[in-house]
Amino acid sequence: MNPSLNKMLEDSAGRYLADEEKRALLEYTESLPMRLQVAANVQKIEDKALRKAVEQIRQKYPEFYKARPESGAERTLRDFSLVVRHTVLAMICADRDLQEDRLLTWLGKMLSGLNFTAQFNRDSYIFVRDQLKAALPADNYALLEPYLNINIESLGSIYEPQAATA
Amino acid sequence: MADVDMSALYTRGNYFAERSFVKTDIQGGVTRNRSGTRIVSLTSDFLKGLRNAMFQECGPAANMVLTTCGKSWGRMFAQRFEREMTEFYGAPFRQAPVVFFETCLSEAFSHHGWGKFQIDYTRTHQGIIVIQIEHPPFEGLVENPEEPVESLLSGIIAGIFSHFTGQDLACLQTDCTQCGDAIDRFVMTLSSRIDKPRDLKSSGKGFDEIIAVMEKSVA
Repeated sequence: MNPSLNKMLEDSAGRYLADEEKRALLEYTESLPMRLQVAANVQKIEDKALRKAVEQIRQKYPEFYKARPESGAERTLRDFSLVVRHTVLAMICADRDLQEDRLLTWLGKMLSGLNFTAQFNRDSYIFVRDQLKAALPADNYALLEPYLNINIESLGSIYEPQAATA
Repeated sequence: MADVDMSALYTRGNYFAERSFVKTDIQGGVTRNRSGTRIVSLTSDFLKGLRNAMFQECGPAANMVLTTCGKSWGRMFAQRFEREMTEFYGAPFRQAPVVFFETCLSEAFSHHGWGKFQIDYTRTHQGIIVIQIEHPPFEGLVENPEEPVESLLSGIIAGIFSHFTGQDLACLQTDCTQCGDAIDRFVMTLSSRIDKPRDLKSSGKGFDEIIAVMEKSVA
């Protein structure tokens, strides 16, 4: 769960929680209904928003998709969906390391191996972020935004093989 | 087997996610990975002690013994790795794309603390795979060695790839940072083709010369 709360609870072993620690715990628990509501809203709009992002990236990189006529767009949608679902989980847990630990390092290695470029990924996850921004209420998006930016930074700076094609 | 649905591979994240991969039952004194396989940490002291004992007991044959141990370990590791990956991702790991295989194996190495590897497949048509590993297990543990020190790891690599290729492979360390080389590098090929490169390495030849002879032997 939330790593800073976990650490706080570990550090408090053998004593009672300080006022500041109690406040942090309450703040997080009070924010949970809203976090879960955002997750439910993302779930509702995910497919439509991500299909729009796929369309944007297809228009920006037509050659990339021309070379993958069979399943390129479907695979992009699948990747977007996997990334967004981890992003939502990170938002629920208020854990800014969760995406990297569970998904992004691993996915970034794979995308490097498939000759995706950092710029392609950066553009992709900017489109994803912007489509979610357009589809969600402002307060929902505000909660999600820092985690969407982590995707852009992480996948937008992958190691690039020399024979990059994207 | 082309009709096997591999899309399940991409519906979960990293099996080796650090915070989920290993759990320790402190009361029982047992550490297990997320599939329930028991994990025992091997510290630098253990590795050093193992190597010293091997050389005391086996003399010049120690490297060969360590390589053989590593190969057996590597094969068993690969069997379990394949089973765990298949169960976790819900699709036959052996049929996964190469890039998926390599990424998961690379994560396995990193998360077990065996180092970070890079595989060069450019000579596979000649039956040669080159692997470079940063921070291998014996890094910094052997003083002034006369020959490469990662014989256990050479065996592990050979064992893993033998399992997945269905061929009997052997792996030779050609470059060793402990011996003064810039990197730790290994060449892998069929066991039946490793004697010549091994002789060349023993006579002091470097990577370029060894690889040139290996390539010529196929051409």
